[in-house]
Amino acid sequence: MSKWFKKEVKKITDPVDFGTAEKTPVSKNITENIIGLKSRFGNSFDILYKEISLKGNKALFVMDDGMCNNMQVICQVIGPVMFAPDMPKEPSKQADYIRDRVTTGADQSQTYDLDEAITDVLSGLIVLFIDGVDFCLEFGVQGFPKRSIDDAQTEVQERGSHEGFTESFKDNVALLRRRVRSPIMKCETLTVGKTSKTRICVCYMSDRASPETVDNVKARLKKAKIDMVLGSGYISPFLDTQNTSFFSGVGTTERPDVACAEMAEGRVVLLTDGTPFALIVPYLFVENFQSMDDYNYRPYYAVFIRALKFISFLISVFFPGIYVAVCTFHQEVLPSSMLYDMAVQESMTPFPVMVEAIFIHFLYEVMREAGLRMPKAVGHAVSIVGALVIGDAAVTAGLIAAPMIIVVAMTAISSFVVSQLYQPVSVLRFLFMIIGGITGFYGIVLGFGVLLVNICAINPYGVPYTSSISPFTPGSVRDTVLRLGWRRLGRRELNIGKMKR
Amino acid sequence: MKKIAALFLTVVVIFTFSSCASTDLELKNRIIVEAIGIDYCDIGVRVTVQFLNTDQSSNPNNGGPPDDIVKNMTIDSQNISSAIQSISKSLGKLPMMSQNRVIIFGNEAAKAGVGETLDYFVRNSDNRATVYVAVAEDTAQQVLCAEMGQWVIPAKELSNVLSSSKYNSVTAERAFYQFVNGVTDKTASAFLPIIAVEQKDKNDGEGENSQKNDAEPVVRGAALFNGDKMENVLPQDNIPALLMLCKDFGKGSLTAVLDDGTRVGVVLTKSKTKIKTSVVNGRPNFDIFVSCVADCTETSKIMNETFTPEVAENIKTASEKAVRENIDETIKKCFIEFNKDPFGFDKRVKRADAGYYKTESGDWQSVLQKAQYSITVTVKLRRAGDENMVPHS
Amino acid sequence: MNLKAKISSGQFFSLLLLSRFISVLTYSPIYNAGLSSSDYLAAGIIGMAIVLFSCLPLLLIYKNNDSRSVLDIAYEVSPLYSKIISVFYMLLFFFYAFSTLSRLDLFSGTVIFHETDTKVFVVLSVLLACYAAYLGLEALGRAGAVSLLVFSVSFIFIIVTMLSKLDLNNFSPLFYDGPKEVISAGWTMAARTIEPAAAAVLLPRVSGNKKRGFFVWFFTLTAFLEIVFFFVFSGLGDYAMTQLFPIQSIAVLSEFSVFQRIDVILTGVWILSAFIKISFMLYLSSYIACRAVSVKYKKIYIFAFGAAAVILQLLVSKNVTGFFISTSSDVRNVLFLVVVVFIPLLTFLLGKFKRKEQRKI
Repeated sequence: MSKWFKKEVKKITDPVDFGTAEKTPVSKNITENIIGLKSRFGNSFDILYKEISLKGNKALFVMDDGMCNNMQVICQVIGPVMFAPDMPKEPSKQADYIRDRVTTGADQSQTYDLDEAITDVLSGLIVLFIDGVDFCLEFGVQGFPKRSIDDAQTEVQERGSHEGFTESFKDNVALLRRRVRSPIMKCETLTVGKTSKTRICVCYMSDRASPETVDNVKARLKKAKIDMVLGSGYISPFLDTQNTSFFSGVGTTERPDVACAEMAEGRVVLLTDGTPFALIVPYLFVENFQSMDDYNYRPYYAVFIRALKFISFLISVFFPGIYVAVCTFHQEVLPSSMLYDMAVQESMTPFPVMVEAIFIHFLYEVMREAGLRMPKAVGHAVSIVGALVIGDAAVTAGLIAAPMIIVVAMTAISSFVVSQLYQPVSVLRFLFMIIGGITGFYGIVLGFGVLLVNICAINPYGVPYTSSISPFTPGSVRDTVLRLGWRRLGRRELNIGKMKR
Repeated sequence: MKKIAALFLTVVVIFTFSSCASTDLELKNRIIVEAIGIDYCDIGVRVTVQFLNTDQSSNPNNGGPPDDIVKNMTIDSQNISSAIQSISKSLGKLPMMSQNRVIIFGNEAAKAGVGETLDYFVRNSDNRATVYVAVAEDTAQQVLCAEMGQWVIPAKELSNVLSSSKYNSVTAERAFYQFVNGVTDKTASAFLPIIAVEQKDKNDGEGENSQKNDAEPVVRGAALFNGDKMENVLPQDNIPALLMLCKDFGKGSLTAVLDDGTRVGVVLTKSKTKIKTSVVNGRPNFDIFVSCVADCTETSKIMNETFTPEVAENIKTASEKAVRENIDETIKKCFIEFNKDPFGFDKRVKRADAGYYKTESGDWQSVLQKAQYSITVTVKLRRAGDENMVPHS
Repeated sequence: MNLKAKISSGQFFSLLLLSRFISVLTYSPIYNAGLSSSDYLAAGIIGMAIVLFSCLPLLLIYKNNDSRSVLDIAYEVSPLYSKIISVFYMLLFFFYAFSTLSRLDLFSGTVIFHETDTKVFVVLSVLLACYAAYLGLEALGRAGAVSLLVFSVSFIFIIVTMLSKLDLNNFSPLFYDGPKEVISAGWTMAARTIEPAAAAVLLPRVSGNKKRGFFVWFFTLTAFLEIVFFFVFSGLGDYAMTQLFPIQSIAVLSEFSVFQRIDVILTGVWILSAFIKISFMLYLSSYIACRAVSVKYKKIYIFAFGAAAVILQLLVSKNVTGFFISTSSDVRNVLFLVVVVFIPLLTFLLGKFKRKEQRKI
């Protein structure tokens, strides 16, 4: 029985084996290549084939209609090739001549692998097969539809730049290059995803990032067994060194200025094609409380804001649980002046405080999720329903006590101050409510202790997650707990490598 | 293996904690005790418990008849803990002691000795050590059951009065732990304020709208204890001196009489007391230095009469004399007449001459009789109000 | 559980400080009944002087070579000798894990949950402590440093809010009942300081300036002890002697604006510190077991020690009378003398003798 049970559990939880794909080389016979291409692409209408003749030798252009810029295709590739003067007769010399003397674009490459050629066609390149040549030439003429550079939706800054990453990772790299005009910033691409073959760009500064970290990142990406990568979140678990914690050693950002700042501190930034969120490794706990605006404000205000964020985080995680614990077990904490009103309010409600708290927070999460997903046209309905139902009707009907509404309001607003931590905060909040309702303050403190130890045990890429607080590094305090002025901050760089164990 | 262990733990936790989700301890299921009064009766103690009325019927929003904000219950029992637990028989809720504001001992109970009743409060961790303690002029039940108005929490009123020494100097404010320290000290005397309720007949209207028997709590002196038994009462006039000597003086007023008969009202603030203790020729000697800051608040002279620096000096001298006489009278009353040391001078003697204290502590009353003291009072007249002062020529 | 990972000197001594702080917070006058108020201050100084003296063997060991622990040197003397002293160390740390758990149970049953059965909390505390110990010394060290910061802030807050309640008149003359009781009380306080034993085992895994760390630990602990006794007795007076947890009672006196029961902050840091200490003691016990027995079962040792602590607590120390077993001065005195003083001294001497012999050869 236990063997059967173990087997069933293994089926669900073990990773899927994708197996290893066989490589297909480009054939010298163009007809074989055409057959290979047509068998893979089938009847896809957007794949275009153009057969031409180069001094009597057959050649074939293959491109994806929607992914290429047609003007570039005509002006830089097909036109010059078709009307090239002095085309040699030998196929191999034809290929060299076209690559070196005919086509005008700077983005050119060649490949001997048919599957790679197919991937590149689907990435917006135009590929030229020449009969008698065992490789194909590839020309970058991408012109697929993409979103223009816009504000970062999830990281709003008051005084920072208003540019955010887009889905095109070439544009994203360009945004980084604009800010760091130094050759030390390296951008290397990898392909992840068996079917999607999504390109990931690994960016780092070679004089600051630890070579072990860079190699580790690349090795993890190469080992990642995943079929489709449609967002940066898909590869994030493969980069995380510890998946048993609520908090992750992999950060995200939608802002190029943040990405550059992270690289300047020796971190590795990963850009995923098709998603505007860049990943940052290794990511520290204190960074959740930092923002670009901190560096544009005066130091005293930046420190104040960071302290505010930290307090908001603590409120959003612990306040509902502490409230439940106090009302259930530790009423002596409440001042006498508050106690009477709360006692009268609680006496009017039928549910235990813990149930009330969980119910109202659950309702809030439902409304928050509904507000996020629903069409904008009906967004007003959510706010009206929320305000009326939670704010008024529930209290008047005697289902919820009024102090609980204040608790949920404070918690909700506090949780949005540190939006990067919303995921762990929203789950931990419920956990602590249950703990507070069952074991009181004792359990909450124990829970805090366990959470603390759990966070302290995270070491993303050899760097302690709680770095600069514990282990305490005096030098890094100037830009974590505090934010010293630029006259002092600019003197020495902060390097994540120096925080390694 | 890990997954099976996790599943096993989850089941254990569910079964273990299912009994913890009890609602008995929630606020709505607790009796919030606001005050406790202790008198003695035939079977043991008569405990009067005042608690908040948090029933729904008392919520005016529900349209029900308005009810008192507090309720009182008197229980006779062999000991205090069983009396308090028996409240739950009538109300079906657990009592909560942590919001208790005052403990009042009945006058007869205080005279008989309160030592036996203190253990409950010391042992109960819910009970705050800072709760105010007092002795009732009559019975504790009478004080707690006095009607002070429909929406008034009497215990709150009582605790306001008992903690008012920072505003006036007539309340000998004592917290529970201070009282216990006094009771357990073999040579010192504990003291507690005496509290009474003054009934005021009030007829504001006819029929149901008239408010009758509106009582007010008042403090009337201090009870001095010998061990745990109340033996003497220190009059209200001597309380300021008592507080000064105990270094608990907050703010107080006195009336100084000048040589020409003018009566001057003075408010004393910022009183500092230094006591130098020594043992000379087998007698304890206390040199008491009191310095106060005073504000002149009124004089019996007609307005616009000149308030010269000489007048200010006279007021200062008269104030010093008044304070000195008050302290002298209080010490004489306590040491000579009552044979009590509520000022904690025994500890000073102990520190000054431990050997002398060890020898004499068995008969401390005779030590008090032969104690010598000197009193030096300095009053600094800080302000004389908004009235014109003639500048010094 | 990485058996070789190092922690910084600050983190290590934070753990030791926290471990001793919780012992001070749980101090009860039953240990030294009859001692008067100001004598506690003198006893604290005497106790710390004894502790400093007892650390001399440790100083001798680490003066010459700080890359080997007492257990390493013992192994060089004889593997059997190393196993024997490992048993003593395991016993010591296990006893203190059990004792801390016992105190926590008494505290939670008396102060926090007087209406509820505390068995559940005992099991829960140990389970979570086992998990924390399992995460390793690094995690514990970092968590200890953060917890110490939380502890310090809370403690300073409580001290500041009760400044107005102090009365120097509450102090009795020094040595009023003679010096004998004072010295005995000092010895009792010293015997509760087993942190040098933890240092004897773990110092090779500590990086940074250990000497400075040790002296900061020592003087901070002394200052803390004196401050606590000063505030307890000047605030509460003789009332402190009637309380099982006088430091908890003094926190009750603290007031800040409308908030009166600030002792809830102390309750929180108490539970947190006890949790860290129990985890640390379980970690130490299992670490020594790994070295003495086998590394293969390292995951099991922690849970085995944890289970043993729970069973002992539930069977032996479950009621008020049984509790006194965990506070027994005899056991503590013997363990202190043997494990903290005698074993390091003997190991040092034997080690030196062995090296001399090897040089002759």
